[in-house]
Amino acid sequence: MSEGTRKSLYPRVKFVGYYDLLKLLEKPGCPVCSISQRSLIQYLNLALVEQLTAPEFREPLQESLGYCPKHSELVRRTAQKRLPRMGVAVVYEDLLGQLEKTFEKQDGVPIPSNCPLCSIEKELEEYAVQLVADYCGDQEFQRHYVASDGVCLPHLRSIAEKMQGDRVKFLFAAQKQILDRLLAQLSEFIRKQGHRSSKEAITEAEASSWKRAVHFLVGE
Amino acid sequence: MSGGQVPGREKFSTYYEIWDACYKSGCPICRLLDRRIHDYLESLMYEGVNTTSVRVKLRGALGFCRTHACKAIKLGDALGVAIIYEDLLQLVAKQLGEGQMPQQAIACPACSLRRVFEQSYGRTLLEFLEDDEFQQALQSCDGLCLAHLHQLSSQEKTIALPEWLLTLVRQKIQQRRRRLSEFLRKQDVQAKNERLSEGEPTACEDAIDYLVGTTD
Repeated sequence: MSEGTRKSLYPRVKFVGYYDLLKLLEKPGCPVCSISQRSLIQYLNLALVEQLTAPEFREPLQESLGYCPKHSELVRRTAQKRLPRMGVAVVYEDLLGQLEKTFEKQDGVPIPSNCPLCSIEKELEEYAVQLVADYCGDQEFQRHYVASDGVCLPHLRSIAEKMQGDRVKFLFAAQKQILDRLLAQLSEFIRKQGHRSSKEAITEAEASSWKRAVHFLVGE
Repeated sequence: MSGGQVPGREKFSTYYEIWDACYKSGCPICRLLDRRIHDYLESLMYEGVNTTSVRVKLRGALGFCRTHACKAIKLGDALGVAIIYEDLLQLVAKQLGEGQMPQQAIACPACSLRRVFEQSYGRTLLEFLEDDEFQQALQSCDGLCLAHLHQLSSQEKTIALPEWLLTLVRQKIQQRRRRLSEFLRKQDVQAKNERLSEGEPTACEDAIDYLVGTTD
């Protein structure tokens, strides 16, 4: 949705979503990724335990024959706990049964439709991206943003598409500042791998800089 | 089965690679692709980080896609990853400083490589589907995942997949369903003294992998 089609909440209200965003900015990683990942995990934990018989949960899954590779990884992680694991077993037993029938009918190899979690994730990201775009002009938000890890590059693109003028300038300048800080830590980390500096202690930020650099480019 | 020796076809290394993977766990194509990408990333980290052609490709792609970037992290070569991504971040920071949004010009190099191997394995599978020895190997494997079965049927185009292969697919699905059913039954309090048999503790992961393939 473009800036013109959705009425911005900023600066009229600062609601719970805004303060949640500020808290997430204090933690490592992209806050947009955090919001969507956290909500997807909550959704899966709930759906695999309490919505197993709900048609709105099962029907899209029957069409998609499970989840895409990225979200299957999330399902695997969710299935580490006992109750969601039983939910996973119920769902996949059903899907395999459905697949067996398709092969019995000799209908060819079925083509899965879109992953239902991808659609949910898209909506969650849309919400979080809009939240950042809405408050990007707020001074309190800007202070928190510059001190944080910023957003990942894929979400930076989405946020920038929703903004114009000074707020885009701020976003680019802030992200550049954040990247320069990360680059300094990364360079120090590389330098300290050399045998001449091998006795110098590597700080926590330097030690995690190589992973943060990767996650900046691809998201969490 | 309507097998035999495939006339006029010499068995080459790809054939033996697939044949060998059939006697290991999981989808043989997924397993081979995983190994290929692992080797590619490992050698890139070990000897390719300062190679100009590698750098140019990675700059064009703005690094690896999410899946392969995570795989690179898992390899644990912190210095190799740090050198590659320092270069990429410098590029991105420069573009942002100039008010430009960095864009990806080419696909992830690991994905491109994966596609090449995936097609090659698919072609070899189709070429030797009627070979006795190959059919035997496929019978004893865990089955092709749905994604690779789909790839095979779309490569086959006009000719339908052979009946023996479809029967085999049904058998593999039934095995997986049975393991899941047993896993669920043994969660019940009435079966609390029964132990999970082989394959049942990992039945969920196996079913997930079967439907989506294992990501490398």
